[in-house]
Amino acid sequence: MITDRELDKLIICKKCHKIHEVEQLEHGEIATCSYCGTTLYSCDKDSIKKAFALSLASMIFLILTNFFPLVQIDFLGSEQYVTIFKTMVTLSSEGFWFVALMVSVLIFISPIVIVMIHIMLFGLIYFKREKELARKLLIFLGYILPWHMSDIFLISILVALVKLIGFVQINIGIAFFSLVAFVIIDLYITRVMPMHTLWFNYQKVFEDE
Amino acid sequence: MSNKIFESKEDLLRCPLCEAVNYDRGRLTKCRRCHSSLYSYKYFKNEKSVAFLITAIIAYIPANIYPMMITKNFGHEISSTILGGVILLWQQGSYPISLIILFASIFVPIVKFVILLYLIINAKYPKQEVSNSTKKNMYYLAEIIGPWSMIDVFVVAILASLIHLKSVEIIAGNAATAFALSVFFTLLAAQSFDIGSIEKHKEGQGDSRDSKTR
Repeated sequence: MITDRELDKLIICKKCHKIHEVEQLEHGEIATCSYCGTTLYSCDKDSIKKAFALSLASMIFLILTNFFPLVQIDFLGSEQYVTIFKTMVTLSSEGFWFVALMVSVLIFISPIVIVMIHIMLFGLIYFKREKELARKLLIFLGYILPWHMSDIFLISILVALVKLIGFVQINIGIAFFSLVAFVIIDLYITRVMPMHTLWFNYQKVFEDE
Repeated sequence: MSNKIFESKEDLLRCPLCEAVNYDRGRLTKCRRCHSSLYSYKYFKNEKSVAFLITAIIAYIPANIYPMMITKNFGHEISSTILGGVILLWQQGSYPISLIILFASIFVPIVKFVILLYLIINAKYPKQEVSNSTKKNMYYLAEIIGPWSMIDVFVVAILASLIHLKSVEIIAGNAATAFALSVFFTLLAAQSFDIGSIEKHKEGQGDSRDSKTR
């Protein structure tokens, strides 16, 4: 039998499911799967600090994204704009409540929840407090992470705009740019802080005294 | 830096939620770190996944029959299905966009259905034509491309709330709900598929697992 401690020193590649031993890396090194080449984990001494700062920044961009118009159009003198909130209201008022519910979860609720969890989690790990809360947040984060589609929404906006080119005059709003910034930061955070790195940090801070 | 591969005699599982490495204790395996249950293959052979997948396939039929988007242009109504929209865009000359929509709302769901169906059937009636690592890559592909089929729903949502002018109006069609349901259930099906069932059907393994479980 292998003990839990030794199991913690193992990692399974998300792509090919080969089991690897975790090795101590130098600052800036990246460990890859020797079978399929997928990045397994990386080492960055300030990763928690960086992720904490970046998640605060992404919260600001997220607020901008949710309150300002994404796109404004001008057609024969009549103007229209769209915000994330307006898409959901329009859909539900036209009777597509399931689509509205799904869209609101995917692009409104889960980004907010994920950003809040990130901020709290990195803060808790950084200040080494509230072990139980950090644990619950980590578990909840695992459940909600697959239901986050801001990046796909960004591509959809571009597709919708290309469809409209030629028919109407398009003005891109503040929220669009902040959505771009939010998506880039979010991708960076999930890249340096995937689930197992978060758990490694959690265990390092709270369990290995 | 490439990592060493760890050879183990025991069956080890990866928790899909927190990615911890766990022992495989059969049906009742709980993740030692996050305590979520790691569905294991001995008794439930992906039933949940099958149920979600069938629901998704059923929902995909009306998604293709009913109109996805209705354009009201000076009282003149044009409704287009998913495929109709792709063809219309192709005729209008916006090839990249029509290819993106074709990829996201027709190619992705069908590839996902085929991959998951194949993997589930293969787990039930094992045949070793395709190697296990190819099957794992297929599953990874299905998981990665899955969410991209939401593009069409988002596009319709944006256009429907943006184009609300006196003369021109775009309304979402019934297919939007069906398609969203279909995507929702394919995501659930992929999530509840047990990756362990791909390789755990070597001969003679069933009995030893039985005794270990009880």
